[in-house]
Parts: sequence; C-alpha cells; structure tokens
Amino acid sequence: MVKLKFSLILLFFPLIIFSQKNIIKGNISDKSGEPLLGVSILLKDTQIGSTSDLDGNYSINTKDKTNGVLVFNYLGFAVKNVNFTKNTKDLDIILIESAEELEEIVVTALGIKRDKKSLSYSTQKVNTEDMAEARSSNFLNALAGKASGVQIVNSSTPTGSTRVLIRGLTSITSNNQPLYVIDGVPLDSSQGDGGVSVWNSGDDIDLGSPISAINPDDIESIQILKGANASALYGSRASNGVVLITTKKANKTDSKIYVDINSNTSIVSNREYPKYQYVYGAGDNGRTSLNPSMQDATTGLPNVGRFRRAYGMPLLGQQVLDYNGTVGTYSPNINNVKDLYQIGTVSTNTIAITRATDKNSLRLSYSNTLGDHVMDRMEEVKRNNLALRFSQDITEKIKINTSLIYVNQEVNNRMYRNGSQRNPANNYMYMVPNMSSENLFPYKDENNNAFNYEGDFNNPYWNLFENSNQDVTNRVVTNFTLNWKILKGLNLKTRVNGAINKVERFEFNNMGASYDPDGLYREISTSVQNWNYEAILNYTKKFNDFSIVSLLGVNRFDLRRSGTRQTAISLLQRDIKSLSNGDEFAPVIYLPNNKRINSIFSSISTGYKDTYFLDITGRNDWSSTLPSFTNSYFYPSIGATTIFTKFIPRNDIITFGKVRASFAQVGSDTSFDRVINAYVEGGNYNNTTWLQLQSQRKNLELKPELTSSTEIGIETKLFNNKISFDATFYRSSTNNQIIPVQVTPTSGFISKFINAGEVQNEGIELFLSAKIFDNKFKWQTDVNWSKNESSVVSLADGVDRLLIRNFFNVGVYAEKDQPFGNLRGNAQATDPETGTPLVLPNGRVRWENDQLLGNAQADWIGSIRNSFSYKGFSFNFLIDVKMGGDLFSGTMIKSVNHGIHAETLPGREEFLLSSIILGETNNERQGLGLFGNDYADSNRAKGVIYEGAALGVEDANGNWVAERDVNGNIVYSERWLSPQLKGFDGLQDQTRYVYDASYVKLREVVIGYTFQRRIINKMKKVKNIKLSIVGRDLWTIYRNTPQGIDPEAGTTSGNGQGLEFASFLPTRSIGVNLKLRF
Amino acid sequence: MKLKIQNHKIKVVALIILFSFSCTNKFEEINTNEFIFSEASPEELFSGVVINTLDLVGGTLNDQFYNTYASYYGGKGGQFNRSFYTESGLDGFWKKFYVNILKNNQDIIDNYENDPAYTNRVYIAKIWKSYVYSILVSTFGPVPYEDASKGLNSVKYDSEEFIYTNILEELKEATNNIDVSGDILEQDPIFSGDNSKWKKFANTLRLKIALRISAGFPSLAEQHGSEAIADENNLVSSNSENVTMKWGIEQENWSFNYSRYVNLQANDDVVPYLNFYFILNFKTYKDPRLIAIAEPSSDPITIRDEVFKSGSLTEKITVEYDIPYFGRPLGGSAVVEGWDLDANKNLLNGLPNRSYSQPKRDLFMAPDMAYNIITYAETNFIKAEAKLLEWGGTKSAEQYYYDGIDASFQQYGSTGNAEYKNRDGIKWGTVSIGDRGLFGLVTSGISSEPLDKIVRQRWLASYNQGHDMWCVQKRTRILPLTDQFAPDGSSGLVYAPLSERMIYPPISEGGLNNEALQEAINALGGNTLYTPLKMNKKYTPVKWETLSDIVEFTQDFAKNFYGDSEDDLIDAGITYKII
Repeated sequence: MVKLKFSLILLFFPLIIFSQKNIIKGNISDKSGEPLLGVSILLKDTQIGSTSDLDGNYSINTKDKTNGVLVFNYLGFAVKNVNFTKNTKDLDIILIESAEELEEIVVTALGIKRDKKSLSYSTQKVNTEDMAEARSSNFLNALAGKASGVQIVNSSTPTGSTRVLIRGLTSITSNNQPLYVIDGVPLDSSQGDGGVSVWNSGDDIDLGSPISAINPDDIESIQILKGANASALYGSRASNGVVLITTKKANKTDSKIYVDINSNTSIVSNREYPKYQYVYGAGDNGRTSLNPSMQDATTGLPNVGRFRRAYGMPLLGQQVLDYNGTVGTYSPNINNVKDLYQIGTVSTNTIAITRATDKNSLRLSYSNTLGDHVMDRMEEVKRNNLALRFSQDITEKIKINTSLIYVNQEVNNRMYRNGSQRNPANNYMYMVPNMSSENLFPYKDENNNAFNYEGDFNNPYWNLFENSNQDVTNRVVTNFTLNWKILKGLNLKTRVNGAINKVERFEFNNMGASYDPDGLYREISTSVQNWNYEAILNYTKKFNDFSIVSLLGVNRFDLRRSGTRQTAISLLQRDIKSLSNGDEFAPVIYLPNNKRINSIFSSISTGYKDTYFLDITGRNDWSSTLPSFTNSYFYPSIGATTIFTKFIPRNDIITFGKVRASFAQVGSDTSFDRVINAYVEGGNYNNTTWLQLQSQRKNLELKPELTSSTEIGIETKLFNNKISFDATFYRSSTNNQIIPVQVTPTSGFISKFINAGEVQNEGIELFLSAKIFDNKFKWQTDVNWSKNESSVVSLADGVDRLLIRNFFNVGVYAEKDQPFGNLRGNAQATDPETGTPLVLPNGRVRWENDQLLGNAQADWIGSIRNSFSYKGFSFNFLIDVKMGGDLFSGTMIKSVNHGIHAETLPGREEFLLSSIILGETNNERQGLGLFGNDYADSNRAKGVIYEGAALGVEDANGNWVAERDVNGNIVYSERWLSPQLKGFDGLQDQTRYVYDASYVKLREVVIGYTFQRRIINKMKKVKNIKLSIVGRDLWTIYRNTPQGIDPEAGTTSGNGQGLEFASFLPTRSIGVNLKLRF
Repeated sequence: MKLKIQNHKIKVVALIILFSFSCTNKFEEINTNEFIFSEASPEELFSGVVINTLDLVGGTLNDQFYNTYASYYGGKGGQFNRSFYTESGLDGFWKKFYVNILKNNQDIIDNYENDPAYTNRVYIAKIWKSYVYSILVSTFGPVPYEDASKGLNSVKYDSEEFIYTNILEELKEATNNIDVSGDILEQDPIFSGDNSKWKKFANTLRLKIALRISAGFPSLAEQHGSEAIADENNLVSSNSENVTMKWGIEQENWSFNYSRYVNLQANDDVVPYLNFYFILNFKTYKDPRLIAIAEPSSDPITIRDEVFKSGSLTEKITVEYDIPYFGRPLGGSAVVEGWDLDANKNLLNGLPNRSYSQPKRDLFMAPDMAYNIITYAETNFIKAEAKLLEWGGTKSAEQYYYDGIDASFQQYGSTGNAEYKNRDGIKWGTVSIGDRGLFGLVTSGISSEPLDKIVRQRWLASYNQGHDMWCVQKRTRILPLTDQFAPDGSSGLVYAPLSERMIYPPISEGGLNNEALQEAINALGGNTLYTPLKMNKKYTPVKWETLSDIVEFTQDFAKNFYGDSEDDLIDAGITYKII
C-alpha cells in the first residue's frame, strides 16, 4: 500500500516541475537534403535531450545552460558535436553517413542493455513498425515472418492460441512456447487450447494465449533471444527462447505533452471455401429411396432427411419431402455454406499521452478494441488496455522505473473447435448440396428441442443461438524497479514484478440439443499470480584495453494458480445460466498449480581492445516441482566473439564483421505435482463419493531436463552499411526429457512420468537486410530464412514411439531415430515387388495400417519484407513462406465421405448408367458374370476404378501381392466401384488426404500516406498524420492443399501439428488505419 | 532521504542473504495438491470399482459384444454387428479393466490386507477381483494376472488354467473365511453390508465358474464345483439374494442404455432390438415372460396367416394381422450366396427397423436399471447341470430345472408358470418341433435331452446377462442359432460364426507390452476372433452354403402367433383382416 501511494505521488510529479527556457531549433538532414527523423539530440553531460520529427525539425530546451555542446546522434551516421552559445537560436545540421562500425544497443536477458557487437549469441530485433497498423486482434499472429528461426502458426480464431516455436521443439510433451517478458515481467505462456480435442472429447474452447491481448500500440520493441545461449540467464523457464517486449515510454524531450491517436477499423471475411459439388443431392448409391419405408407415408415422396450423404440422384428439381417436413425441390443451393457466414469487424482506438522532463517521464495509453467475427454472435471481443510507464530520478543515484499494464477483456461465444458437435462452423463438411440455409429454420420444434439430422450434421443455428459462453479476463502486469548507482560502474537493481490474471468464465449449452438433450452449464474461475523478486548487482569497468560487464543476482519466482470448475451436467430449465439450474449438485473441481523457483546467477563479459569478447554465465535453480534431492541444478554458458574487421584493412566491401561461438546449457524443471501419487474424486455412487488412484504414475526420482546448445555465427555489414547479413548455425539437444510415457494398462496405470529421451534440433538462420535505394525514394528489403530439423534421438527404454495426437487412427508421433512429427495411418497396400496398388475382390482398396504418411515439420521457413517510401507515401508488404511439411486433412475425408466435395464427381454419371439405368449388379461391375463367367463389356466405365491396381492375392509366404497370370504378368483389376464406395475408402487409403502444407502468403500490406508539413500546418497543433490502408492474410500465393483448407490449419497449438479436422475457413482482413499526433 | 537509502541497502543485502539460506524449505508444501486425497478407504475405492465394473461389463461391453454374442440382441448397426470392435475401443476397455477397476480394487487389498479390522472387506475385494478376472479370462483367454497391477513396465500373461485355479482358490478362501459377524463394508453397493450374502456370492460364483470351465478343465472344475455344491446352504437361494449391480437416477450414474439410447433419442438403426431366435423361443412356447422382457413394436409387421375359422376345427381362413413382438436377425435379411433364394419372398426386405421389438423400456432402458451378476433362477439351472455332471446337490436335476423356471417367473413377476412347465418341450422328458426360423435352418424345437432343456431355459431366464450366455454357448454349442450371414464385407467371410474370444487390444498391449503379448499369442495359437480358448468346447463350423436344399424363406416364425384359431385372435382383441 505504501508503495502504491508513493507511486501515485510520483505520477503527478511532472506536473509540478517548472524550469527556465532556452530553446534552440533547427533542421537536420543528410547530404542529399533529405530530412532525418528520430535523430537524438543530447545536451552533453546532462540528460536533457530531444529528437527530430518527420521533417527533420527539432527543438531543445537547454534550460539554464546557455552554452555547451549539443550531441547529434543517428544510427548509421557519424556522431556530431556542435557548440552553442547564448545567442544560438537556430541551428541546422547536416549529418554525414558513417562508415564506422555501429554501436547498436540491444536488450539482452534480464533487460541488460549490451552493445550488440559484443554478444556471442544471436538475438534478433523484430520489426514492429507495421504491427500497430496491419493489426491482428491477436498480437502474436503479427509476429509471423518477422524473425528468422521463429515459426508462427496463426491462431484459428481471433482470440485463439498462436503457436510460436523458436528453433524447433525441445520438449516432446510440453508446449514449447517461449517465455514472454514484458518490461522485465516474465509472463505465463501457457496456451489456452490445452482442452481442445480433435473430435468431441474435450472442452473444445480455445481460450487463447494470455500474451495475445497486448496492445501493439504500446510496444516499442521486441527482441527475440533465440537459443539457450541467449536466454541461459533466465533459467528454466526460457529453454524455448525468450520474446522480450519493451513497451513505449516517453523520450526525454522538451517537457511538452504529446498525444498520439491510432484508430484502426478492419473487416474480416472468409478468404475461400472448399470446392463443393452441386450436381447430386442427398441419397445413397444414386438413389433417394432404398425401400418403401424410406418414403414419406402421406406424400409418397422420398424423404431427403433420411440421408446424411450426397450420393443420391442428380439435382433436377424433383419433388421431395424436405428437411423441415414440407414438400420441397431437390435442387442445388450453391450458397448453402456461404449463407452461414457474415463479415466481421474489428476496430481499435488508442490514445496515448506522453511527457518527459529531464528528471522523469510518463506515458499513459488507453485502447479499446471491439470486434466480432465471420459467424453471427461468435467471437465477440471487447477489450480495454491501459498502459502506464513512469520513471523518476529520485536523486542522482537513485532512479525508479515502474510500469503497469492492465487488460480487461470480455469475449463472448468463442467458437468450439474442430470436430466438436458444438462447433457451429464444422457443418461445411457435412452440408449436402440440396440443403439450404432456409431449410435450417426453424431449428427447433415447438417444445424447443433441436431437429435431429442423420449422421454428424448438427444444425449450426442451434449452436449459434442456443449455446453461449463468455470469459472475462482481468490482467495486471506490474513492475517496480529501483536502480541504485552505488559507485561509478557499480549498480544495484532491485525489482519486484508481478502478473496477475483472473479469468471468470461460463459455458452454457441449452437444453434440447440433439447431442445433449439435458444441456450443460459450467463455471470456471481461475486466478494466476506470478511474482518475481530480483536483485542484481551490476559492475561495469573499463581499464586500459579491457572492459568488464559483470553481474550477480538472485531471483525468486512464485507461481500460484488456483481455480475452480463446476459443471451442472443437466439443467432443470431452459435459458437459465446458473449453477442452481442444475438438477444435481455440481461438485467443485479444483485446479491448483503452484511452483517456486529460487535462483542465483552470475555473468561476466570481458572485452579486449573492443575486438575480442568473452561471455561466461552460470545459474543455479532450486525448483519446488522436483524431488528434494534433485531439485537443485546448475548450468553454465560460455561464448566468444571476435570482430575480424578490426584486423583487416578498411575496405569498401566489408564495413563490419564479427564471428562468434557459444555453448550453453539450460536446466528445466517440470510441472506441479508430479512426484507423489494420490487419489482423486471419481464421482458419487451409492451415496458414496468414490475415489480412484491417479492413473498417471508419478515419479519420486525425477531429474531436471537439460538442454545443451552450441551456436556459431557471423554478422556483417557490407558496402558502407547498405547491407547487413547475419548467419547462425546451431545445434541443441535436450536430454532427460520429463515425459509421461504410456505404459501397459495391466501395470495399473495408463502412463508414468519418467526422465528419458533426447530431442535434437539443428538449424541455420540467415538474415539479410538491404537498403536498395536510400534517397528520396527509399526501398528496403529484409529477408529471413531458416531451417530447423527437430529429431527424436531416443525415447524411454523399450519405447519406440509416442503418440502425440490423433484423428482416429491417424496419429502424429515422436519416433525414435526419426524427425519429430511422423504422421501414420492407413495406406493402400502395394505389391512389394512392383509397387502396384492392390484392391480387394470387391474392387475396394486393400490397405495396411500403421503406414508412414508424412511428417509435419517444415523444410524451411522464410519471409521477405519490402518497404518503399517516397515523400509521404509508403508501401510495405510482407511475404511469409513455409516450405515442406505435410498436413492430414480430416475435413477432406469427411467431405468426400459425405459426397459433398467436388472430388467425388468423377464416375458418378457412369455409375448411374450402370446401376440405375442398366441395372448391373455389383458382381457385374466387378467383372463377374453369371455362372462364374467373366462379365462382357468390362471396358466400359461403370463408376470409378483404382487405376493401375491389381487384385491382392496371398502368396505362399502369406504376403499380399498383385494377381499375376501364368506368365507372371500382373493382371490389372477391372473392378468398377460406385463413387460412394471409393469415397468411403478414404478411411483406408488415407494417403489421399495427406497434402504438402507449403505456402507462400501475402501476410501484411500497409499502404500509407503521411501528410506533408504544409497540409498539417493548417491544422493547429497537429504534428503528424498518417493514413493507411492495411491488409492481413490477403492472398495465398502458393499452396498445395485443397481450396478451403489452409496449409496452416491444425487442431492444436501444441506439438500435435500436421492434423486438421473441421478447421475454420481461412479469413482475411482489410482495414483503414489513422495515426495522429498532436 | 539519506537514511531511507541506507535502509534500502540493508534490506537488499538482507534479502540476498536470507535467500541463500531459505531456499527450499517450503517446497514440499508448494508442490502438494491440497485438493486431492492421500488416502482412500475401502468403501471410497470399492464404490468406484463397482460403478466402473457396471459401466463396462454391464454397459459398454454388454451392449457392444456380449448381448449380441448371446443372441439377445439382433443385428444392431448393420452388417458389422457380430463381432464389432475398434482398436481404440478395445484399448479403452482394457484400460477400464486394469486401471479403473482392477488397480483400485487391488489397492484395497494391498493397503488393508494386514489390518485385522478390515478382514471381510479385503475378502470382498478379492471376490470382486475373481469376478472381474473371470470375465477377462473368458473374453480374451490368457491375460496378465499374477504380475498385473504392480506398476511393472512389462507384464507377463498367465494361462487360462493358472488364472482359473487362482480365482477359484480365492473364492474358496473367501467363502470359508468371511466372518459374518466381522467388519462390514459400509455403503456396500451390492448387499448393503450383509456379509452372509457376500459369502453366498463367493460360493455361487465359484460353482458358476467351475461349470463354465467344465468342458475345458474337467478335473479342476469338478474339484471346485463339487466342493461348492456341497456347501449348498451357501448358494444363492432366493431372488432376494440375487447378486445385482444397479445404476442410479443421477446423470453420472445413468445406465449405458438410458444415456445412449433413450436420453439421446438414438436413431432407429443403432438402438438394440431383441434377437430373432430369442423372441422365437418365447413365441413358440407362449411364454408369459415375453411381455416383461420385450417392448411391443411401434410399427409392427403385418403377416398373413392361416387359422381355423371361428368355431371350426377344420375350415381354415387366411387372415392378415399385426404382430407386436418380432425379433431381428443378425445380419438383417442377408442370405448366403449360392442358396438362390427369391428375395421377393423375404418378409424382411425393406422392413423398417421400428418393426422389431426393443428391450422392455422400464426394465432394460431405465436410468437406474439393474444388471444381474448371478440370479436365483440361474443358480438353479447351474445346479441342474452340476447334478447332470454328478457333482452333487440335494435335489434332482429335474427339480432344479423346474425351480429355475419358477424362480425366473418370480423374478419377472410373471404368472402362468405351471401351464408353461407343462408344455411340450418344456416339460422334462418331452419333445417339441418348434417353429422354423426365417430360412428354416434352425428351429425353436427342444429335444428330450436334459442339457438342451436346461441351457435353453437358462438362456431365456438370463436375458441381458450376455457374457454368461456367451460362455454357456461356447461351452455347450447347444442353443439352436445360425451364424451371421453377410458380415462386414471387408472381412472376406461369407458368414461369421460366433466369436470364440475377443482379440487383444493392439495399441496398448501390442505397443506397450509386446513381448509378453507375443508370448501369450504363441501359447494361445493366434490372436483372432476364432482362436479357440481352452475353456470352450471345440467348434465344428457349419458349411451353410451346402444347406441349399433345406433352405427356404418361411413365415413359420410368425405363424399362429396368437393361436391356431380365429377365436384366439378374437380373444386376444386383435384386429385382423380376412383375405
């Protein structure tokens, strides 16, 4: 409380400071006369400073100093010192481009600022320029294509979980998400889709990544620490890399108050739909009625509602008994799926106020986001973000820095995902072409019960209008840092920071649904507190040719999560969203998750002659999640750098160059409560609350996981800094993985936690940045390219594979000696000698199970960002590329199985002729005539056939081989099938639905115009206006998946990549962004 | 201000020092989940064991396998039905058996065995263990027994004989050692804490299992069977002593049938229908229990029948009327290729599913329905058979047989048992021709053989005890049933006989305990549905396609449903049409 008061007083401090005025103004440009924006101007030996604006104009208030030196500093230009006197009022400056090496300061682990050239590992700064304009309502999605070695799998809903994978996955079973650190506060990076199943066996609601609600307007910079080498000082939680986010603060300028406004409105719409067929309607084997009982008793018409699949007759407008029991026509409704969708809107408005003096700075911003999505009532977001940053120099030696981020978010009706019966959007796999959206109304009868449909189809309008869910999040991220300059070069930084996240949510399924007539109401409340207490003693010294940066620190991390979950599994009355509406007592399920990690760490970096650098770090963690005798673990890192341009002659080609190498280890603990087995509540039976032993066997002998990583790299600046080129090669391996391995149930357990297995990652990252034109017309290109291979070196003893996720029999596996993520399932059997595909005597596919279908890992990923500007115009676009990796599409299996996909058209006409008109039997289509004779006319197409396939016969060794004639030649099968059976065969011949998931996407486009000075001058006080047209995910330039199936689609943000089932249709967003400063 | 800074300095230094010394002292507390339980009483564990056993054995498995294998259900879900299973399904059953049921049950034994205050409760857990293993071993064959539930990575399989020897021994011990006045199981879900009933359960189960293996392991069977029957006072001796598990009215305890078929209003082709031959055996003998077991069809089949004209004993008329009770054959109306039957004569062609009878709703579809483990009627039929095997027993086989019929009538609240017992075929020593089935391949006729009579009555009396009757049929092969014609097209079979066993779960065992599994498969001689178990009587497959000379579509199964005269129709209040 005292602390709070103190902060509040400081908050108003800037307003009561007054001082003298002595203002110097001028313009800053380069040789060509082009104004330079953002040049820092500093009054030497003070902290008074300013920056130049868009037109190169600056002004600085030197206050009581009437003479002295102004230092003009701009990246890529030589520093210029200019004397001024009492009379200096106007001072125009021309800066000369520097051929010298750059002093580029970057933020490294623990927020320590280092000169980039001295680092022995790679970090990459993310271009945040377009993020606030080409916005995604999910901030993490905007990281796509922004850094090499960072793979982003976009969330499937605006509020869903995004997968961010830095240098591949290190852990087989954990989510492998990086640690996010905002202004020094490490955040909980758990994903919100842990309960999302492939098909109906989980919560199926994706609550998103907590970090995704950050307002990009508040972000100053993002630095990515990729490997263990960069993040070793963060310890356990950083074994998957770190994303360091620094929020904006007021720059030390002239105590003026600036107001920035950013207003963005975008529309979201479906980008594409699958290719449907609108030729044949509901029915079976070319018919709409199989026997008289399928015809309506009163009208005698075929009842189309009896069929779940569209393998019926041609849609010619025949009379049928339609879905809502009325007489209708059997005709195509080509917009039946499109009609379920709408255009969504997202608008965000941000206002930020900044003010800084030489003693303190303050930035306060507020932003409001309102959005909805492509389905009525779904994904409605209301978000308020408040960000405050304040710093104050209390004395010469003591400074405080505080920041506070507050997010309040309400999301209504997150969409259930994947195959969930509650997912209103998955009907696009099942909706037969003669069904229209009008057929779907009313969706319930007079007793409020949903109309029932054959098969998996559920009326989407029931799900849209009868079910609801809501979550309200309140999050506070706060940081308080006190810097004490004890002596020159010796600093003590103490810091307390915390992130508090409270989520209250409910889920309501109204009574009367066909899949759950009693309905459901559930309340979940969680509260996560995440506290860090840290003290770091920092010593920096330069003597002779040596420089030293060293630190010693301690940290305590406390995670306290508590939560409750209560479910009323059947309701008493409709529409009432309350636990008391349950017809039985709803037991409380507690969801605790606690952890404490104590750490002590140290690092020392020495430099010699500004040419050679050596980094050494060490850290010891004590984690509460491990058994007492293994819970302390130490890990070191060492790295070296040489700036080789120091000892080669100055030349026009290589301006700057360094090579670096480093080795690091990071230990990692495990999750809460994995040491001792206990009993959990199973339910209530016979008036007894019964208990059962946890089916996962815990382990009293767990050891920490250990990731060891080596990287080497080169960083260069070429042609007078026009081109930057960096390359990194790395290899890491994670041992002693803490994995829950499946065990035979006969042991009494389903799985147990063990330390086993090794995962190796190896990769290359390249980064190239070129200023192609740098005059009035500017063109800059940034290219990222990276390749990573995650392979499973070993698993537990006797375990060759682990199933990560599955869609029925199609699984994603970690397999020993294999790249991670093998996809396995059924495939057509082939002749071992010739590879000829085999069929059964009935013409259908002969298959083998457990066949390798592909692998989900990409071969490489990359991006190109181009930015052009001329006068006030600017044009930026980002192209994001992923090459390689396979995707199994459950959606395609279903939509082909249901006969609604255009892929099912071939052979239908021929089959109708054969089956309905000529009345040929299955035997005849399979070439069998009467009395064991061959059927004549075997060449005429009678449906579909497996081309080049032969009958499988069993040879003497019991292997299935192709049928051969007496001469040993393969007899090719002439067994014609109904297209429907071929469609059904997709369950056996699953290679059909495995696609190359490569893509090239136009990810972001920003076309902007910054209003010229002379226009703005007419508007009082306005300093800057920029208007942009922005777009995200506009165009998939290249892909091999079928239309409507996004190559990025998946069922989870976890490790089970490579499976897709009922994923949402891909969307794009286009909008307008207005930026204003006054 | 200066002082404050000094203060801070001290605090920070103190913090660092404190830190280094107080590193890990609260760790255990932090890493403990305070919302779960470190201990569980036998009662808390056993209730879970029972509801899990009920859901699995009496619910899912009964629905998916046993009731079909016992020919209680007809084709459900079409051609796949006879041996329908999925790999992941098998895997799930295996987990339920070994993890949810056996491990938790074993936990009672392991934790309380050495505490004399829990003697009876430990025996109860052992009885349950034997019961569950008796299901496992008769369903799969050799299964892990001795090394199971111990947390081992690799668990060996034990032979059928080994397992039977052990479970029979355990049941013997429990019968002998349960102290009726000793500790009781509070909140006992089966017998409300009546130890004497547990004793009887143990002994009756021992007899029942002994009989079950009498074809495969005759001497082991006789040893235990005769000992159990010698203790006849400790056998289930009235319907009030029936061993029954019950579901509940709370949603979490709803019966499988209610939640799957009633609550979800499952569509017509997935709900269970009673088996054709099962209903036929009720119809032929005008069995009053039929209306207690079957629900009349909501869309009954209309048949054409010949009856004596009212008041006449010679003049026949042709009438048309609806029959409300009609069973569904396995495989629907499918025929065997080569029979060359005229499909137009098939009454079942295009027949809506609703025309078949479903199980009685209030008894077998209720949320809180019961599932019988052992009934008094069944015990009598078991004793009748034991008598035939000369294991002992105070009454004659005939008397046990009649007692069984009486007990069954009493169980269903049906009357007319005296009349029923007097019918041809039912009455001891008599013969009946019965009615022909759809194809005329088998009939509902009963021979004068005592075994034929006893097993037929046990079948009719034990409806919904699918597992028991599957075992009885595998042991005796005496119920007149056909194979399933036209089973799943991809299996390559023209007809599928009764499964001898269920295959091992390929994922959890093949993947995780493969070495032990392969050993078991080698010992068993294969891992198919038709790999015979040692406990089964050898099956000689019928070559159905060679029976083309006797096969024809008949309507005998429906003939004279209400009697052979128009007067019977009038008496029954049936609307009929004279053709």
